Order: sequence, then C-alpha cells, then structure tokens
Amino acid sequence: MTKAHTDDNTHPASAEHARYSYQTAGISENEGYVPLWLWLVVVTLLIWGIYYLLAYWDAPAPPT
Amino acid sequence: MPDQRSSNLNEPVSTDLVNKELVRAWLWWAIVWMTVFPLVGLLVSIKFHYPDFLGETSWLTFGRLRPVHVNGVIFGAFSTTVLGLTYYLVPRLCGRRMAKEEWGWLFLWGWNIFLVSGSISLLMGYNLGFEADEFQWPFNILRGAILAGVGAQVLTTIFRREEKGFYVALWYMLAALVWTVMNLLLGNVILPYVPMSGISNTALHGLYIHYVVGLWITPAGLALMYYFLPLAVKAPLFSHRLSLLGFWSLAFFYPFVGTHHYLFSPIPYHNQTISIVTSMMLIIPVWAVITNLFGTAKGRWAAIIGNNDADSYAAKFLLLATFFYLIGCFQGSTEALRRVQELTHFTDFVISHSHFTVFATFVLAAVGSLYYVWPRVTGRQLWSAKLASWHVWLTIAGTTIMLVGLAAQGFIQGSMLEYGANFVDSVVEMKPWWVTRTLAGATMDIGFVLMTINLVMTVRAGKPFEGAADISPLAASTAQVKRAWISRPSGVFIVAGIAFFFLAVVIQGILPSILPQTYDPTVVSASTGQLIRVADYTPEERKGRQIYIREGCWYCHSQFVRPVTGENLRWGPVAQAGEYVYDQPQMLSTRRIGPDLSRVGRKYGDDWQAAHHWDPREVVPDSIMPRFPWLFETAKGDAAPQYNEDGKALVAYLQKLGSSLDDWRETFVSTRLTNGISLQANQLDRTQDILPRGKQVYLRRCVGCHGEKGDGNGPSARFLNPKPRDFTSGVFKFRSTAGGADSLPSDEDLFVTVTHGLWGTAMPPWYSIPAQERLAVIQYIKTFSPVWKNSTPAAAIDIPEEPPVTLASIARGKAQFEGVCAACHGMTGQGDGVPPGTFSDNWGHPVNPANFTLPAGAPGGVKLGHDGRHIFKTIMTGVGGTPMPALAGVFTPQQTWDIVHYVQSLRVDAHMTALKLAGVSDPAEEARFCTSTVPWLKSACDSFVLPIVNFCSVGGPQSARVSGARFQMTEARAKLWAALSEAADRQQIDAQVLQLDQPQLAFIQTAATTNKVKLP
Repeated sequence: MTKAHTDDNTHPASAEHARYSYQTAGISENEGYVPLWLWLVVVTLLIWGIYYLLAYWDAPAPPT
Repeated sequence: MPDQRSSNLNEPVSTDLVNKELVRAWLWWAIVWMTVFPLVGLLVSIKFHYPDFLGETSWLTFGRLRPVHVNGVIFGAFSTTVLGLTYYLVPRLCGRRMAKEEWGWLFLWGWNIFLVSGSISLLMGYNLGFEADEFQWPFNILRGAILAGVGAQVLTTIFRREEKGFYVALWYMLAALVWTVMNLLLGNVILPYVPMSGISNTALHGLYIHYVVGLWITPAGLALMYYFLPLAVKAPLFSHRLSLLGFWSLAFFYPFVGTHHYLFSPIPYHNQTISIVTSMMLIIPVWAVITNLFGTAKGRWAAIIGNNDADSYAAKFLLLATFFYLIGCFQGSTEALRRVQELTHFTDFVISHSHFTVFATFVLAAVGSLYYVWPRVTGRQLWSAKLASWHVWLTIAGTTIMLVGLAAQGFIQGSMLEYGANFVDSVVEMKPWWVTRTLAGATMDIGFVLMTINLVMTVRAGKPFEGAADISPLAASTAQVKRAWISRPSGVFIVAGIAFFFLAVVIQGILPSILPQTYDPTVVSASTGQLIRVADYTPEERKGRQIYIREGCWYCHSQFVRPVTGENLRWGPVAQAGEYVYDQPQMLSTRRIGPDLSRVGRKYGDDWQAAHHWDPREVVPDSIMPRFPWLFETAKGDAAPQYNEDGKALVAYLQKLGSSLDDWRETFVSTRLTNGISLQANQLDRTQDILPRGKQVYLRRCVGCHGEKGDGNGPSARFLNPKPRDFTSGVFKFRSTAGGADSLPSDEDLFVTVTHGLWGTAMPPWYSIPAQERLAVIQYIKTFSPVWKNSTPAAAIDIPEEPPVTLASIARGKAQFEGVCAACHGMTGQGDGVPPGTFSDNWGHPVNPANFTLPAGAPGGVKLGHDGRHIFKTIMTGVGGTPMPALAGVFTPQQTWDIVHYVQSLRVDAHMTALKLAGVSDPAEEARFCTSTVPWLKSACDSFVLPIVNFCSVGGPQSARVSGARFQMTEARAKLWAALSEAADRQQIDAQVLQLDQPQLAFIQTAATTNKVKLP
C-alpha cells in the first residue's frame, strides 16, 4: 500500500507509522513493520528448508 | 427462527450497507449448528469408553456419527458462521452492499438443506470414503454451488467496491472461496470419479484434506480474526506489512503440505520431503499473524479483561483463538517432521492437532466474531455478562484439558507401540484419558449451550444497543489508490488463489500420479522377491469394500504398514504402491483406534471374524469396536448367527487384504517357530507366583474362545469351527514330547502354538504380547486339568540334523507318503484321501486331514506352517485329540526327514505355480511409459515428459522395482525352501531341487534397493 493516508500525526515522516482508515468498515490499519526477530526466523527456516530438501530428496538406501 | 420483533428494529434495511436481517438469519442457524454438531462429537467420544453406548442402531455407530461430527463442525458450526459474517464484513469493507444480495437467502436455505440432508445421508451409511469428503454427489453439488455463488458475490463486490483500500480480511476471504471451490472440484470430482486410484488417489486426498483446513477454515477464519479483532479491541491493525508476509507465505506454502498426512507411505519420497519442508515453513505465516493480532491488542488488555460488554467477550474469544492458533500450528508443523510423525501419527496426537486448529482456533474465532456482531444485527446488548464469562472459562478449561490430554495420549500410545506393546494394550491404556476427553468435551459443550441461551435471551430481553446504527454505502468515487500487485484483488485472485494452488497440485498431486509405480499393478513378492501382478478385487470383495466404507471401518483401521517403529514386525511387510492400484477411494487412513488391517487377510478365520463382528467384546474383552449385528441373518434358536450377504462380502474383502504380496506369513519373522527355542535359554520361574499374572492374561486374551473354565466354551465359541481347545482334557495338538498322541506338551511347544497361532482356525498369533505373558498364561491353562498335577511331560523326541534336500530325498519321501500318509492326506497331499466328515476329534467335532499345498491361513491347510522341524515332530508325535497318530514307530528318522522334504516340496511347488499364475511379466512391458503410436507425440513424450518422470522417480517408494535384468526362478524357489528348511542354512538344498522351473518361463529381476524406473 504505497499511498496510505496518515491519521497518526505523531510520526508523520515514518512510513511504518502511516495509518489507513477504512471509511465504512470502522477499522484502520498501520503500515507497520515486520520485527527483526521474525525476519531472522524467516531466513533461518528458509536455509533449513533448502538443506532439508537437498538432504532428504531421495529415500535413504535400505540397510544391506 | 429470526425474531420478528428484532427484525423490525433495523428497518428500513435498504439504507444500510449490511442486510442485517440476512446476517441475523444466517447467524441464528450458526448458533444452532454450533450447539448440535459439537454435541455429536460428545456422543462419539463416549463410545470410546462405553463402546455399547447407542451401539445397537446402525445409524448411531461410531463409523456413522464420526463424519457427521467432523463435517458438521467444519461446514455447520464454522462455515455457517463464516458465510453469515461474510454478508457483514464484505459490504462494510467494500463500502457497498453485497452484489446480488438477495441470493443470500437462497444460499442460506440451500446450505441448511445440505447440512441436514447430508448429515442424514451419512447416518444412513452413504459415504464416499474420503476423510472430510464423505458426502455423496447430490450434497456435493449443492455445497459447491452455494460456495461458488457466495464466491461470485464476494468477488463481484470486491472488484466493484467503493472503498479503495483492500483490507487483509478481504484477501483471505477472497482466496478462501476461490481455493475452496477449486478444492471441491478436486475432492468431489477428481478424487472419486477420475481414474486416479491407489497412491495417486492418496496423494490427491492428502492435498484435499489439508486444503479443507488450510485453504478454507484457516483463511476464512483469519478473515474473521483480522476484521473483528481490531474492532473488538478498538485499535488499528498492528502492521499491514505483517499482513502481507503472513498472507503470501501462507498462500505459497500451504498448498504443498497435505502430503504429510501420508508420510512413510509409497507416495514418492521427495513429495513427502516437500510437504515436510513446507509444513515447517508455515511457522512464518502463523507467527506473522500472531504477531500482528497480539500487536493489535497491545495496550488494550485492561479494557479487554475488565469490560463486560459483548465486544470484550468477542475480544477474549478472538485472542484465545489467536493463542491456540500459535500452539496448534506449531504442533502441526513439528508433527510433520519424520521422527515426530513416526511416534505420533495415527494416535490422538493428530486428534489433538485437528481440534487445536479447527475448534480451538477457528470455531472460537467464529464465536468471538459472533459475540461482536450479534448486538449489532439484533439491536440488543448482550443479555448476560456472567453467562458469557462462564462460556469463556468453560471453553478455556475444556479445550486445554482435552487438547493437552490428547497430545499426551498420542505420545504415550506412540511410545508404547514403538516399544512393541500389544495394540489392544495400548488401547486399554487410553481408556482413562478418553474419559477425561469426554468430560472436557462436555465442559466445552456446556459453554456452547450457555452461549446459545445468552444469545437467545439477548434478542428477547437485551437492552437496546446503541451501536447498531445503519452505515450508508459510499458514494461512487473515481479516486485511485496505487498499490503493489500483492495487495490488489487481481494479485490475490490470480497469483495466490489460482497460480499457487495449481503449482502445488501439479507438483504434489499430478506428478506423483504419472509415475509408473503409482499405477503399475505389480508388487515385489514378500516371500521370493519376485515381481508379481496384483489381482483386482472380485465382485464380492468389491462389495465388501463398500460395506467397509459404509460402516466407517476406515476411521479406526489404517491399511498402510510403515517402515518405521517396527510395524513390519507387528503386522507384516511394508506397504508397496502396487498393492493399491485398484483402490479408489484409497483406504490408507489417518488414524488407528484399532490395528492396521492391510495384512489381516487370513490372519483369522472367517469364523473368528463372524464372532468378532457379532460382538467384539466376546472375543476381545478389551475391544472398543462397535457390534455389527446388521451384518447377520436373524439368529435361529441357540445357533450362532450367520452372516448375511453384506457380512459375507465384508469378510471376503478382509481376507483379501495383504494377499497381494504373496504368501508372506510362512516367512514372517515374528511367527517363526524357532522363537520357541528362546525359551530354552530363558527358563521361566514356574512357581505359583506366575499364576495370578497368567490368569490375568487368560481373562483378557483367551476367555472369549476358551471360556472361563477353560473348557472351550467361551461366549464366541458357538461361531468357531474348529472349536477352541478344551483345556480341561489336558490334550493338545502339537507336541515335541514322546509318549504318543495324547502326551503332554512341553512349555516350549505351547509357547510356539501361542506365539504362532493356528492357521485356518480362530487361534490368532500372540507374538505381540510380552514373552513373559505368554509364559505365564501357559502355566495358567495347566490349572484347568488335573493331568498336569498327576503327570509331567515326557522328554522331547530327538530330532537329528536335517539331511540335505535332494531330488532323491523328495522321491523317497513321496514313496513313503504314498504308502502311509496318502490314505488320509491323498496322493497329492491335498487332504482328500478320505471324504470330508470321515474323521472327528476326541470331542466329536469333524476334522479333516491337512492339505499341504495351501498357503498360510487358508482353511484346511497346515496350522503351524511347513517348517521342517515342526513337520518332523508332528509325524513322530501325532496330533493330539485327532485321528493323526504318532508315527515314531512306523518311520525311521531318515524316512521321516524324507517325508518332510516331500511335504515341503508340495507346498513349494504349489507356491511356484501360484507365482506363475500371478503373472511374471516382461520388464520392458512393465516399465514402458511413452507408448503413443503417433511418432511426434512419442518423441515429445520421450524428450520432455520422460526426463521429468525419471527425475521424480528418484527417491520414490521404497519398494523394489524393475531393473530390467533377467531373474532366475531358481532364486525364487531357493527363497521358498530357505523359509522352510534348516538345510538351506547350510547350503544343503541340492541345485537340482531349485532348477525345476528352468527354462520354461520368461524371467525378470527385481532390485530391492531402488525404485528408479528404467524406461525403454
């Protein structure tokens, strides 16, 4: 959402403090942010996922 | 149902964005279904500890009520609320009235007709056979049409909206409806009707069932949470960027995860791996949503907790749902990990997860939304804060106890089974937990009843609500708001709704289905390693399969032996893809309240099955299986009831299960007769101390057939033929002891019989109970007869080392056999030397000579297999209580071994004949993929499709596949001999004995280590 209008005047220069109000819904939302810790979770999971896909793409050979 | 007084409050309706009368009508029905369908679950749960509860009526058995509960909660309690609230939130978020709003009335009544008639059809046994996809086509058409209609209304309203913002709740609602309409096509059309059977069917069903949860319940529920939570807590949504992360990661990853329902199955390994990875990736959207919603409530907790109006109770339920979403989804992600699933799959851990997500998260989200909207569509304040508070706390208490308890149960049962516990013992361990589950469920249901009373009284006696004023639609605007494609309706609709969905269906559903092993009707023989064809069902077996589906047997019994946790030692060989090619619907199942049945064929005789279906607890006192008296003709007098046509068909189907893998019981390690030898090194303390334990074992395992007095007259004995052993006589069939056919057996002999079971009779193998239990019960059954006090078993006969198996020894054995044994067993050893009914045992029951050519478990065949030492002992000591005499004085040990070899050769020959009949096929024919006669089409297939197939075949089912080299039938014959003869251990099977088949057949070779398909 690039042109959200801002109701919150305390941080007019900050995009993440932009707020959009829905006129008939009685609701508004902040542009907000994604916390750093969650980005770390995302990156960690993606790395693990790629590893797991590669490591376990094939079934392990049965014991001989 | 709608209250006339309240419906007049909001007139004229047309001035408002929202048609409150329509929303109110939907929500009235939502309240009804929220009360009814969870209560059905309560009835179902009672059956776990009182299995006879409501058990005499076919309509009310577990197998009929369970789908009513599951579908009722999903499509009744949850979906009715969601659809009703759709007519509230979509117009408000779009700034215009719902498109074709009047259709909502039609859909409401159609939806209720679907729920009522569909539920009745399930109770009647009309079941499609797919979990969460049980309704037959008329109900599916009705449901699909309504959801498509609502989807069309929502899409139209969104694309014509006056509010230029496009809120996250609309993303989810739009996507949920698009996904679900496509998923219903998958589940209601492709799964049952397009010829994609077996493992293809399984792969697609895994997707379907998780799409119901992940692409309908989850996004529709999140739509409610995203809209009503900010309203209820009176705060702006925390972060639009988190909404983007949550929605798009869910849309991308969720469509792939469904395969995790069938980990360790013959579905290609890499598809399973993809589902595991994407399941773990779901942590991303879940944590994004949690952060967003809790962030929204930040700073508002005092008001949420302290206030007593409807909005605060709405917030409480919505935040409770958010918390359970975190727990339930983390549980689900980790449950997909292979090691976790080894332990927990098929147990109540799965039930905990499904209740965490469906009920505790999204039904509670719907409840919270209902609390918020109800005053606004009725114009009345909530009648009682106290009742609402009770509802909250009863829900917290009941839900927490039930779900934590179920998860704990899962670990307990899974651990017991992993460490080799008897399956029924693990069920017994669950019974107190199931009582707790029922009490917890009742607590939750009481909460729903209180909610219903409260909401009804709100309409009848609530004070006027000030916040119910109409909101007018927005005027048409030409203002433009520029947004990235990921937050535009077209982006959500096309990319998330359609593209991601199809990408996942192709990778996880379609590609596995074009691999030859998923439709090739061949398996690797468990006894010979030979590639053999799988026979299709006979008409009667197919009918039996329908009965199996109708009665819901598949809700409790899986058909899928995994290569983990010792399941191949518990039930038999690991599942192979080829076994399932004629199965549509597939019956792998996702739950084991009873044992796996994929290897049950010929484990028990038809008579045992009849006794078990008539009353399971007469046979297995600890069983919780329902009775099925409607599978029997009306009983005449005291005679045992006889199966009707449905019952016969069901048993024919059950006896077919597992037979596709060839006669594997003869080589099944858990019942090898050499197990008895371990006793010699494990001398039991045979003091009186062991008797109480033995009695306990007897009363739980044996009393149903052998009776409390040990006289063979247990409650199920009237069904059984041959009759159960009368222990009071002190006569036993199989012994190694000298002294004639009525000599007492040794403990080792009895241990062998108890462990192995007696094929073709009702005596099952008991290898799955601890050896100490088997030893204890042996001591206990000796108390039934004074013979054991007055005499002791003689020493075991001397069994000289088995000589080499040669054509000459077989020929000598044949001569001896024809001279003596053939008089009863027939010249070809088929038990036809005398007419049936000629002989009877000591108790006057008819007995017939054994047919040595039959496979394991076939009626009339040998009872303890064709093991060489066993046959030797039987010839020398006779069969107690029957006309089979001890022939120790007739044959020398050498002659006896010759006869043993001849008898074994009869079975090996018959087995080889059966293998040849099963179809040994040309590997080139089996493996061919691109078969088109159109040159360019074949070329295109070879160039483009074949590489994909080859790539995807890597890491597929662990079953052996064609390697293309030639296989000598000699090796198959050698494996059969090796299973029967100790001489094989010393390489003393003469080569000539193994080369009888050459060179009459075309041969193929199987490789046991790869499933890589070699294509011509």
